Amino acid sequence: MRIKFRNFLGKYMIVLVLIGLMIFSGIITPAFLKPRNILNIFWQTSYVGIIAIGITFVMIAGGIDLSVGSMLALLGAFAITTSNKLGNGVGPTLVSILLTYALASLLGLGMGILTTKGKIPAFITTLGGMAIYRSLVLNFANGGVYMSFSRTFSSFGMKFVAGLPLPMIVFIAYAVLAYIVLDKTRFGRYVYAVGANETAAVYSAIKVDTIRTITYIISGVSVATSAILLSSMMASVSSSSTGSGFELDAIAAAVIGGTSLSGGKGTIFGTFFGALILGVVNNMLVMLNVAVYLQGMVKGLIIIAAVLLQNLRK
Amino acid sequence: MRAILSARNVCMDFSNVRVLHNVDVDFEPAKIYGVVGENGAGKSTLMRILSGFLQPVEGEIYFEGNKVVLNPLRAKALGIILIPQELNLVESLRVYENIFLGDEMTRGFFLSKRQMIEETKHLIAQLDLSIDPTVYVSQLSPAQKQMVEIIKAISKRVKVLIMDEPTSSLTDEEVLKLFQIVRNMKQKGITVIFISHRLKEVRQIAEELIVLRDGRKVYQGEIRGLSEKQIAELMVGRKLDEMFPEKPVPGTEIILQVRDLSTADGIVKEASFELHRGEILGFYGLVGSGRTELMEALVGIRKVKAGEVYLFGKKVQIENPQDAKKLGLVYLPEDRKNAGIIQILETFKNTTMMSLEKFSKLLMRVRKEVDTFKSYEKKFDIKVRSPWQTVGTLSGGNQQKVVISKLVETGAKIFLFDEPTRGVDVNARHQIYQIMHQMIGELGCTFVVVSSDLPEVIGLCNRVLIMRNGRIVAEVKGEDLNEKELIYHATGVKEVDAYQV
Ligand SMILES: Nc1ncnc2c1ncn2[C@@H]1O[C@H](COP(=O)(O)OP(=O)(O)OP(=O)(O)O)[C@@H](O)[C@H]1O
Ligand SMILES: [Mg+2]
Repeated sequence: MRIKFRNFLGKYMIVLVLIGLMIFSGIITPAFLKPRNILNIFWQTSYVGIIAIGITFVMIAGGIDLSVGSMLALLGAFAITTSNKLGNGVGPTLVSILLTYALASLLGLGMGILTTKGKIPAFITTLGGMAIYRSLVLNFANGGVYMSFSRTFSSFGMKFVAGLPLPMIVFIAYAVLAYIVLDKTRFGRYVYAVGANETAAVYSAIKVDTIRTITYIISGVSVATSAILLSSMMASVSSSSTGSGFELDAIAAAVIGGTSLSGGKGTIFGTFFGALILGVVNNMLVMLNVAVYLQGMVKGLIIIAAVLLQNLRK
Repeated sequence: MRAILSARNVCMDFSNVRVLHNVDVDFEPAKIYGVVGENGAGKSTLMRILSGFLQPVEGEIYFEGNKVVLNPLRAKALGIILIPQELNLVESLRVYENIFLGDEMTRGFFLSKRQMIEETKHLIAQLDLSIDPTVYVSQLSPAQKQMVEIIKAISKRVKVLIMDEPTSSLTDEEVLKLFQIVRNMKQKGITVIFISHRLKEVRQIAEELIVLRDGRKVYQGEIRGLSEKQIAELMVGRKLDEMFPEKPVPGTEIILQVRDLSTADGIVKEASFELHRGEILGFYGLVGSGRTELMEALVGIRKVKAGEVYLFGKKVQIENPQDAKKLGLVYLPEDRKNAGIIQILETFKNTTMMSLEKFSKLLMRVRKEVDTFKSYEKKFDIKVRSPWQTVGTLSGGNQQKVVISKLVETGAKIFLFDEPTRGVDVNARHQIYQIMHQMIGELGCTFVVVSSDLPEVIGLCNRVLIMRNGRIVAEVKGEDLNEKELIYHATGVKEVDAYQV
């Protein structure tokens, strides 16, 4: 009985932390708990959250993806440019979205192949990707901004469905889908196996390189989803600032949610709530008027505290 | 004589399950103790307590008559050294760096590398081994790693040396060397505690026997006068059948033929052999003779340079383990910890890992997986608290049974077993042998068994091939299948009587 309770607590600890954090925030600034604000937090979190879900696959398989922030800018810029070229309308917009997904998968595939077949540490390949993508985005816009001229493209990002912002709905649906893939399919099982013990996975006749590569494609597809939603909502992409720092937030969300940097451990459930915790903290920092320059410090402390807490529980 | 190390009333729990019950045990100086017990009996747990790696939930430890509370550093300072069951070397460091890890020799501020290398060379030479002190540990075979652990232990100031299954990956040659060391240590007044599932070795080396059963000490006393069978019966607490079942009669059909196979790394040289349906074919040889490498080449883990492989009469090209699995050929790796199990995954997931196709259409059918695991749990007598227990927390022998269940579940027809009973207790061994026979009889399976355990090779196999320096040098069967003959071919030396200690 006691063990059952401990397990239960371990599993849902993160939800309790989130609730605790929200109550705490509500006490110091009552405005925090307004439904409007809560909805906003959820909305704001969606972009990083979707990326964090993708990165969770990569990290459980024992990799890391530092390129997601720059990739977000690149894919957003690509979506805007193609939809500008193709013109207004549902058809052209869908085509540009499909093209963006195709490019994202291709980039993920490249990253995966370089890392697995080229035997380059993921840290290095994706660090390279981070620099390359950003420089491409900057180059084509000459350091400026990509503006969307397609009314269709720039409208859906602000849409509400059943009273909820579209990005939030996508985030939740995406998390559910990812949960099923990771937890309930053969592929998901292999992801854990590969990250937990690569050698044993090889001896168990698992296609280690293929599994790893697919996780990078999943990461790319997640970034594409986020990029399309974000660039549509903003109707623009800034070549210098869009997506910068997203890689750290996404990794932080996964880590707060219990994903291990050394692979083999983590859940979508954890990452989902990890992202929300991060979103609540961001929101609080703004509401409490914490100096912009100090916000990074607070976030850093929270990440470290989260991991410390997980270690102490063991 | 006064005891140097004693445990009084020691109890241990894991997740509220008691695994040691009020154990009282005394160890005297200059004596060699054998500790035996079934898989999961609590041997390793007791040893970890005696060397400070675990704290008992009840009971006390006494050292030279004084009550002590141990931690690993304190135990080391007192001279209690444990060589753990699962090796504990830093793979990315060199041999000499591992040996002096934590006790580096220094000159002023600086490490005196030369001195450490010299000292290591000296220790290695003492044991008559051929290991280069400056190679990385990751490049050594499991047996060599084991020897490095031993060297590391004896390089310390030691009063009580605890060895948890040190011989499970060693061949007789190395075991002999190890026993020589152990006897020397006894001469110097050191207490040696030796755990093994090879009862023959325990009888050879130990002066006093300690038997654990289900976490309780059930025997401590003279070993002289006890036969292997009697020891085994003390372990399981009931009468036992003959160890090896009647050997099956193999068919005549050749199902695997290997011609002049050489590996790209040059370790295996022009190996040729045939395997008949329903046969148990043994591979014997010293450490480094190339047996494991040959098996790895057959399942596509090691690159092949030249040679041909025919499976069921058809020429095949096996590039990777997936190809091999599809053709019905699977390999049980020698290195359980790194290549066999996935430690942090649940036990049942390890069992089904190679046959997930069977358990999923679109989604995984966990219920079916668990049921399948449970049937193996019964059949192989796997001691596990629940299918969800992470496999890394099972006792060593039970982990091995899980790996075997993983291979059997693939439904393969040809099994390459590399040290299949490494760390497996007598009773479970017997069960594994019987399962092999069952699979031969009912499913038409065939086995290749690489083993360093002579009684196993002799009692189990129809035919034995012997490898030396990467070549298959001899075939032994029928009347000739005995220890003398095997050791002679493995070493190439006639004077084998040294073995009959
Ligand atoms: N860290 C752990 N967490 C949970 N259970 C454990 C842990 N370590 C050991 N156990 C359990 O304690 C029991 C005794 O294990 P132990 O390793 O001492 O057995 P053993 O006698 O050494 O067996 P073997 O011959 O297989 O090595 C087993 O049931 C095992 O599952
Ligand atoms: Mg043990």
